[in-house]
Amino acid sequence: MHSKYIISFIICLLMFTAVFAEKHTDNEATEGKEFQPVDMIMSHITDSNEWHLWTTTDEEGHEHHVSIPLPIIIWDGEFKAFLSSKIAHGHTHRGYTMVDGVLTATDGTDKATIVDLFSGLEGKYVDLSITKNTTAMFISILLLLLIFITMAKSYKKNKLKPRGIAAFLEPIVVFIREEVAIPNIGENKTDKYLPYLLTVFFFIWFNNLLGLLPTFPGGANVTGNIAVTLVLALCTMVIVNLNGNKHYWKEIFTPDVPILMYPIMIPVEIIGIFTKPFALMIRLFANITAGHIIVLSLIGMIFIFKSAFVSVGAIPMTLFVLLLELLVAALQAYIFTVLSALFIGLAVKEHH
Amino acid sequence: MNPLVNPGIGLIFWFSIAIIILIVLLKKFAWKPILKAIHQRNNAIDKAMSAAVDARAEVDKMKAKNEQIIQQAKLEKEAILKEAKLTSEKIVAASKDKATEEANRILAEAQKRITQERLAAVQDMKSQVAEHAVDIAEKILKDSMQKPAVQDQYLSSLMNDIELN
Repeated sequence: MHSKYIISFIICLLMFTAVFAEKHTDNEATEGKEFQPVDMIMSHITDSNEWHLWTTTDEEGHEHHVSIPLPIIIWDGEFKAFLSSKIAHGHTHRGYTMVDGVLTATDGTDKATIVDLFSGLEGKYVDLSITKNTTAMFISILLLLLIFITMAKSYKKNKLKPRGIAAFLEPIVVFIREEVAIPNIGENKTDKYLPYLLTVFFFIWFNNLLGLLPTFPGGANVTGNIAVTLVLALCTMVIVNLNGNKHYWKEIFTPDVPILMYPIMIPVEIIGIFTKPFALMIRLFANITAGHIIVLSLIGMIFIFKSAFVSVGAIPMTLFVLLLELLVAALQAYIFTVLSALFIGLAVKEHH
Repeated sequence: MNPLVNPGIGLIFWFSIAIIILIVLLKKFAWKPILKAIHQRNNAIDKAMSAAVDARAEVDKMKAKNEQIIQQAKLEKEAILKEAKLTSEKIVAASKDKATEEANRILAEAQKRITQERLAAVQDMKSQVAEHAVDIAEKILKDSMQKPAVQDQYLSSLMNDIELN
């Protein structure tokens, strides 16, 4: 029953793709164009303002790109919102265009970075577009809501034994509670932080798995995007520091060392507040991105050597790395959750 | 900056909103009911388990009790049998004694009766002998008195006796 819903949900998404996907004709001829592995890999692992599906080449050598157009939202003194199909392939609309799928201002103004948010936005435009990763993230959130609300509802019918999706996911939920949350946070306070840990675990896991899919609705490198891991790590940091008890702050400002050591220890402890979530952010981002780079590099070998025979070696290797990635998908979700639980536990645990 | 390590403001903005909504929605509609259901089921299982253990203990206790009762019954049976045997022996012995006594009593009675009968017979014989002797003496007297000499003699002896007195 539930799996039927999920399948029909995915089919609906695919139909949406078929309706909105638009064909663009690239006037550049492909002849003479050298294969650029770095460009290929970078375009796969970074964000983009359209969801590229596939490219065909006609008899005249013209490339036809099929992509899902995504909404562009810009603030540069005024709000501008339009679909990316308006600026695709050299078209310009209200002062913007797309270069390799990424929004660019035609007058040369820079896109505001995260640093500019603090140092001033003058002469820069803020890009709030619903990008490929944003869309993939929304899709994964809908999927998570669908799956777990279905699971919660199934308990009303099956009180004695979990059935369907619940039979598969319940051991994982129980594992997070009993092996991750309780040992780190303690029985009393687990209930308060468990919803966050469970959400983060399944969000990362599902997005890692969706990222391994070759194309829509997966294929976006959501958990391998530093903005996503930054927000996740910030969530942990905020929870840790908002709920830190007296003991936690005492360890930072009056650590258990001779007073002469304070000038060294206190700055180290204060830096520690930021390095812990920073490590969380980098670890998840680097692991997932690295996995994608390896897979793409192995596939790219075939095109670099321009020989189908390379695939004899490259395909089994890719398969092996993909299987490894399946493991890493769960492992990185687990590690992020365990470390979040550990940091929360260190901040809130009662000490006697 | 390399786009890989340049977090996009748009994604940060949308994801911050989305993750908070996701946590809130999942907490309310998924984690709470799921964890509650698991907790309730665990409690039910624990309760059933302890009930089963209790029932088992009860059964064991009853078994032990039954065993004890059987043992006791066995002992009682043996005691009763022993007693019955003893009683029967006693009864047999008692009846034997009684019979002997009765026999002795009958024997004694019989002996007594025999003695009595014999005495009576002797008495009877004695009295009969006396009668006969009297009869014989009468007859002799009659015979001898018919003669006048004898009568005279007798009379004179009688006279003598009176005189002498």
